Amino acid sequence: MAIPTENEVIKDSSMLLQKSMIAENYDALTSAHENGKKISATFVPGNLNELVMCFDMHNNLPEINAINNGMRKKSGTMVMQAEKMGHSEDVCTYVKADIGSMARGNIAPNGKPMPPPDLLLLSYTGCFTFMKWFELLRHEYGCETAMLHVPYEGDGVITQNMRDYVVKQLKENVIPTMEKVSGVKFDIDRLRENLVNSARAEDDFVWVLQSARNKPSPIDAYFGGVYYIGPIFTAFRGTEKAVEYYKLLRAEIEQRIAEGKGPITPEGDMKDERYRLVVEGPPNWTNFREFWKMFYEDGAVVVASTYTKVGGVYDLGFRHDPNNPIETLADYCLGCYTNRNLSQRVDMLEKYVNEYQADGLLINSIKSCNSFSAGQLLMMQEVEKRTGKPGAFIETDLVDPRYFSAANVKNRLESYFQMIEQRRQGERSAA
Amino acid sequence: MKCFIGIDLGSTTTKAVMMDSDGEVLGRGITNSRSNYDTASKVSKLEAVVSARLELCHRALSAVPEMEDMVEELLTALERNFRLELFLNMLNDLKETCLHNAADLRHANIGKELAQALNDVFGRMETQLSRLFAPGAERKSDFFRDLAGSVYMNQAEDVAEEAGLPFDVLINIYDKSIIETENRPPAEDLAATFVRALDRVIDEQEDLPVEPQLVRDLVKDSLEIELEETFVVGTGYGRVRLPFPKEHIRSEILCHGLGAHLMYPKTRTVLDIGGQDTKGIQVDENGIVVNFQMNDRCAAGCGRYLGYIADEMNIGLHELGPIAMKATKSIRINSTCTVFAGAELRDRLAMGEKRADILAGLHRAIVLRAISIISRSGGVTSEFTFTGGVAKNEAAVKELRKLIRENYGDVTINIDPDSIYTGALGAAEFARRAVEH
Amino acid sequence: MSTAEIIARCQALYDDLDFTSARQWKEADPKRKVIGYMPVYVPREIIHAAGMLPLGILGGGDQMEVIHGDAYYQSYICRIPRSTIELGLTRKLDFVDGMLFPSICDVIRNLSGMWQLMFPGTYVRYFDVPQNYDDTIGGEYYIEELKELKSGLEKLGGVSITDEALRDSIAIYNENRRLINEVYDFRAKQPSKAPSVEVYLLMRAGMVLPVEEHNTILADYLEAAVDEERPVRDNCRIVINGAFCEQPPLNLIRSIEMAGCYIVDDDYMLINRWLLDEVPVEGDPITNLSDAFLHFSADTAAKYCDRAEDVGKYLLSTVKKTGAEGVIFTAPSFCDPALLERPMLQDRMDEHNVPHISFKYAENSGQMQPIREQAGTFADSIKLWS
Repeated sequence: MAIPTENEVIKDSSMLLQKSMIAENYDALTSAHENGKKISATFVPGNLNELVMCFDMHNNLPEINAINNGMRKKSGTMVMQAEKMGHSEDVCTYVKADIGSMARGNIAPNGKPMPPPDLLLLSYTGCFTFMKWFELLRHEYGCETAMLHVPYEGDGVITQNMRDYVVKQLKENVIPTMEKVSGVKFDIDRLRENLVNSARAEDDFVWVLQSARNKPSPIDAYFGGVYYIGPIFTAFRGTEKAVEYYKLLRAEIEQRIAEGKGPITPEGDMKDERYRLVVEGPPNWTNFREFWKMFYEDGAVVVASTYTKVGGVYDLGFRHDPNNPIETLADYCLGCYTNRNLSQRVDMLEKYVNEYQADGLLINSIKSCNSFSAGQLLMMQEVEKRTGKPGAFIETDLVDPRYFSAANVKNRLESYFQMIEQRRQGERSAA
Repeated sequence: MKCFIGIDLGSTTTKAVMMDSDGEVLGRGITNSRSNYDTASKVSKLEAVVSARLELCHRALSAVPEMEDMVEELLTALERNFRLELFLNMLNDLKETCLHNAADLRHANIGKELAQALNDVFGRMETQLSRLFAPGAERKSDFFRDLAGSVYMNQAEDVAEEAGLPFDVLINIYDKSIIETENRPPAEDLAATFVRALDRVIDEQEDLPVEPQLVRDLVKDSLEIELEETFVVGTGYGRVRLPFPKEHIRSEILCHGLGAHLMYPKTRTVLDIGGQDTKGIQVDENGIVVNFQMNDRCAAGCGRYLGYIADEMNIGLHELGPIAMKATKSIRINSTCTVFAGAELRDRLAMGEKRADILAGLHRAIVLRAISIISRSGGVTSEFTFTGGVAKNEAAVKELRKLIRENYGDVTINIDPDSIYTGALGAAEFARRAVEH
Repeated sequence: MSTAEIIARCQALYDDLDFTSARQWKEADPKRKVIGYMPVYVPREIIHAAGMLPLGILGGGDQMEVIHGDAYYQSYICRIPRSTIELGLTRKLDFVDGMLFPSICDVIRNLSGMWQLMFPGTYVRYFDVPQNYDDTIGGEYYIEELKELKSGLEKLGGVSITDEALRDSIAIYNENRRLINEVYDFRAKQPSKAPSVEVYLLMRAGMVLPVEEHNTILADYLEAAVDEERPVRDNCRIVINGAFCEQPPLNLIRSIEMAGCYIVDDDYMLINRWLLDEVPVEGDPITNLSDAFLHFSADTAAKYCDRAEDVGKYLLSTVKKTGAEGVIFTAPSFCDPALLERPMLQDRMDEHNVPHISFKYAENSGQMQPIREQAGTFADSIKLWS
């Protein structure tokens, strides 16, 4: 994901590569119309990048733009702008940052205006707000909209009926609409080629995520994880570039393991690994660095997170399958993290706490995101019960700076870390 | 002797507990947190030292058999006079500061008259306030600011009118000066103040069973015992602002858990309702925290909620509980949102509901929130301890007892009158363990 | 029976958080099952055809103290799931054999998972309706979903649901919808004769009573209301929009009317009026229910509007049909669907010069003064304009 750079930040070469990929992509997007290209806008969960590429369209992800604006401290004004325009203070701040940004000229991170989308690819996967978000954008842009309704795994399984429904929508609605908008005929072999690349990158990506099983963990699977999911969750899945990125990243992590190093942080290698945590929920973007620092300065590393599964759950075995190109897209969408029911999510968290030998589960509950947040307190209770490890709960928001209280978050984090330490001492003296 | 100190910097008050190497509490101190945590922590520590000195005097005097029946009375008198001395010192400081600020301000044309007026005001204040330290007198607050503030206002109004001076100028001078005075670290020559106080006591006391000199010697000896600050641990909301290294800081969760365990070793669940935070804490048989939950970002249901309501109703925070106890029924208040509660309250008053009944409903609302937090942290399974400023509010305690029983059955509920010191007590014990273990 | 007697009965049903009448219905026959459902729509015909009682669960209202429900939710989540959890944990729903959670928003969606974890013995189904309205796409998917629901209920009840039974149930619910529409039409024509609180309580009764009994009550009310003389107020006529899930307290409904606004249409308990036309009794009943859903159903923010030009069309047609002079957007705090949709609806109303105001509530809102003031000012301004 596009992380704005600051000079003093220490970077690996994979990060530099990603940075250039993102810059190129923004340039491609802002000049798309000049180059006779079309733009399709869509979401990270249920992102059909392989398909979008089949129509020579550029993929613009409003969530990522909102994150960018959050990290550049620009989202606050945008959110407030949208609220002034009549959007409720209660609803998702990604939506409001997007609408506020539009009202302010929609300037991309490269300083150029983002052209309006030619297609809204409404992949309604795992989040109700997506549906209304693109209805609101359609209301503004008046452009073509292709809706893909991905049913929720209410019983924790993907039924054949759900799969058929998604496949049929893809074949009969989504693909024809994309052909119409782009003027490009759909070529299933092209899709297959892209899917081959996806699966290759996914293998290395999963290897990177699972490297956190090492002690010390060579990666931070939440704050660092945000960088690692960047290409695969956005406009690069299915490209050669993404395959290259993950190969490079994997080599870097292999090196770190060989050297016994902990994860890289903006201030260099993290020294002493004192706490291993599993984190549920998206990060806060407006104070990302400050938030991260509260962890690494206390020696806390995140060994597994669910946020790194929102754009696809790969570590449980799913890979894009070129042999079943349309069905695999359906399965991909149906299996995204927030499209899974609470039992599945609890199972995943339990598995992470155990497999990654974590000290406990930390939930960062996001005001904007009911898809994630509603039910998290019960999830925490369940995971605590099943693993015997303590949970903790903090609250922030995605891109609304008014909702990040550093003192509040730090107070809870410190209390949590100290509790883990105290319990450890207690266990030691009891042993 | 070795002393271990715990300081709990809360959003409203700052508390200190001083402990000896056996884990016995020597003294406690409390002050308002002001805007300056540094001074607040110094003042509370000093207060704890004062109470430790009194404790040491108590120990020394109790050893004299003839004194047996008199010790309590004598010490009460000693403390009262000590407070008076301290108070007069501060009042004098405030007066000097006011005079200085009056001269410094843009009132050159009325400079003389102002100085005269201030002298008058403080003269009257001294007479009036000294009475508060007479035997048996009751003080509404122990904080200098509270005691001095209201009397100053009254006297300044009268004096201003008599002297034909603008009242608001006197108010401005006071507002500026009280902050300076409060934030000035107190002079630490306690011994001299104690000796002066003791002189007053011995003058007052007519039937001492022993030679006054013996009392003087014992007190003097107690004052001379060196109280070494062996280890200090800070906790509470303001702990990050303490100029302490990391190993001297513990989270208030840990401190409250341990503190409650020290007071009631069978405690398994602790509820603390403070100004900014409500905490539900589960501890094991050693006082180790196994789980905790705090109120979410929304401050609804914290002590501040009651403060806000008191302001809305224009009554003192301490009056809320007693008024609510007079309720004949409880009006359901649904808004735990602090801001909405104010509106709902006015709505109810407009509908003709009784103030006491509404207040009873408000107390229930805040306790309901607290019960939800306890439920979130794992509920109540065994002995339960309620701490924090709100534990002093009888109406809140009444609702809490009722709700705990309704939801968790007949469990033992502990509420210590000194529960406000729970966090500081835990911190002091952490300090002791850091050295003694 | 007088309207007062009928409404007193409905009020008693509304106040009863123990659902005594549904419990009694169940106790009358050991084979009986009760299926709870949440807003906004489930096909009650299938439940009814299984010989079961569909029971609308609409939160706890303003008379229930929520303790444990609050323990599970952050302050920025609406109120209905908290009070629903509280109902569950305080054993007020212990006689309910199944719970259906329709796809209204992420909070209710996740509540289905919470219910699975918290009440493992209960039949729980997340009822995902299609957002694609093509017969061969969304239609086929939905027919399968309905069949899964049907077989789930058959398994739960140890019964088989015949097409015949389904047709009978469709006919009974057609009658229910007809009577309900009649009440709504009656109120729209003579709002002084059918105060909104009464209409509301009548509809609420339909959430807990067997449909046959509800039909009788509706008919009785209509008969009684026509003849009853009531004072006519100089009120304006408004439509309520956005209150389709968490319900407002009665006081809020009353306050709006007292402040000078006759409610001539609303979206409270939309399930009663979700299917707009009579569902055909002949033919395949499941297909008929699916068709009705896809092509002849009401609108809410929980539904995807597949054509930009259709956004707000339903609301606008309601305004026209009832001769309303304005719209009051009242949404529960933190209601994603209603609050996200609202700006689009407001734009549509502006385009057609339909005046509107908006405010938020919670099911336990206590202060009505601001509501009275806003509704009163709105009524005054409408009178001045017209």
